[in-house]
Amino acid sequence: MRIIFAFAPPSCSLFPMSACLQINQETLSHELIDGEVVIIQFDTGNYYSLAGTAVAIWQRLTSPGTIADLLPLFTGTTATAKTEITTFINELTKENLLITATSSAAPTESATEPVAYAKPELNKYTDMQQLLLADPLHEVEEAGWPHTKPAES
Amino acid sequence: MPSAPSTTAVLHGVPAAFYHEAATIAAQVAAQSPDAREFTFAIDSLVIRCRFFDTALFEKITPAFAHLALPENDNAADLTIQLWAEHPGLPLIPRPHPLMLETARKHLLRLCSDEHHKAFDEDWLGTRTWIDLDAGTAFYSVRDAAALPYYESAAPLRALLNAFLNHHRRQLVHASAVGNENGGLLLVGEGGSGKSSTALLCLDSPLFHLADDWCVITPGAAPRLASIYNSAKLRPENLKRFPHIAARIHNHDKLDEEKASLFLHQHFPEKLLAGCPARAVILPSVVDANTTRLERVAGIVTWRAMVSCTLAQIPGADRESIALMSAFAGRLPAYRLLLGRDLPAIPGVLANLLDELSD
Repeated sequence: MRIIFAFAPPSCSLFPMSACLQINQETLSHELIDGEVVIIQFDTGNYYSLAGTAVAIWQRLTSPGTIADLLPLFTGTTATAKTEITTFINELTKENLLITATSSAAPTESATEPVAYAKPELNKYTDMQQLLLADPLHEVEEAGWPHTKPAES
Repeated sequence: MPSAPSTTAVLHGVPAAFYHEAATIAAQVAAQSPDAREFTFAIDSLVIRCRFFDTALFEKITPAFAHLALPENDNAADLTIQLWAEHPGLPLIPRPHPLMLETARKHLLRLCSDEHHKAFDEDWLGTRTWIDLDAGTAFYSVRDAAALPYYESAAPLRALLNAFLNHHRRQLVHASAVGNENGGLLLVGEGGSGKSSTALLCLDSPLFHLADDWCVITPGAAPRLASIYNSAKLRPENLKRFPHIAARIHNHDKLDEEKASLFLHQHFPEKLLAGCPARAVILPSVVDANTTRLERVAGIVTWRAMVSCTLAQIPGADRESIALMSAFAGRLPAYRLLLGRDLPAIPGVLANLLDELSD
């Protein structure tokens, strides 16, 4: 099933422009495939695709950054565009794809010229949840078997 | 009152211990079986040496790898597998504690596996598998070699080999593949999509055959395809469309319950290719048209087909497997192959694409 997010109206709570964000590397895998970013969230088994403007935003956030850091990526960023970008970031955060950064935003040199702005979209897919759901192996250390850890007091 | 330790804590250390328990049994089997037979082969330059302690098992397992066989020598192997069948008089692998039989990711023994060791229990086959990834050693025991089904002989040791390949940044995927020394095409899709038929049609063309059902992919700056099995399977109702295959299948007497099967190495050895650079990922589908054509599609379309078919069928495939498949797909263009009724023309469509992509 494919879900295209209909973004919340501007009156809803939006992420502050100064909040520093980063990709939630712990629980997801992402790859640029044929111009689209494909993201797999192993906590939920959902996967997502991003195209166009959304790809540029995602790639910028491979290192910690704020919403204000995203605006120079584009030309023609009106007040509406700022709201749309903020709402898009909120959706990424709600899906646990972005988290609050553990370090402050690092200044980055943009490798490319700003591109024309278009509304970013997050496409969500739920059709492979059973296959993608994380099924982690338990953590063990070098020790014999059976080996009982002392119960914690 | 102290709380009871968690299951994970109680079974702490199981993977290494379970592996070493199997190793002890394997050493006893080797000591009691003086007539070991060795078979060495290579997948994408990784050398795998099998040491069989059962003749019937040797004959069940080795034909699928015959096209990749290496001359016997004492050179170091990347993986050494000891394989045996249970017999009266040979020591038995103790049945694990019931808690240890909890499986994850299709027959991977969750509590007996970690990043160093993996253990699989494929009960319906009667096989158990252990691998020490760091040491490059593994064990495979089967309850009854004669009872291994035809599809296991066609694609043996999948769980074990995929764990080993993952450790070497490669992935076993459910896909067909064809190509030449300049490049190859990976054909992905559900059963019945036409990928096997397309690969078999290429036997009668200038293109070479890498894979019918399972192919090894290597992601990276120059992604590669590698052959692993030389088996081919067809639905019996499709045999009439492949007369050059129909005359060579080895299970005519069982087609009421098995797919038509053959080992291509026995009949078309000159048409098999061990590996080549990957050029594209293709999703075939049968259409109501005479001519076959290709259309460019978004990479996520073929990625989804490759990931879903592979995860559904490979025991133990996990996040690492998905990351490898994603990295592979990220480097290659994706196409849908719309298969028309003019079957002999299909290899030419693929050959033309390969020519374009290899320039």
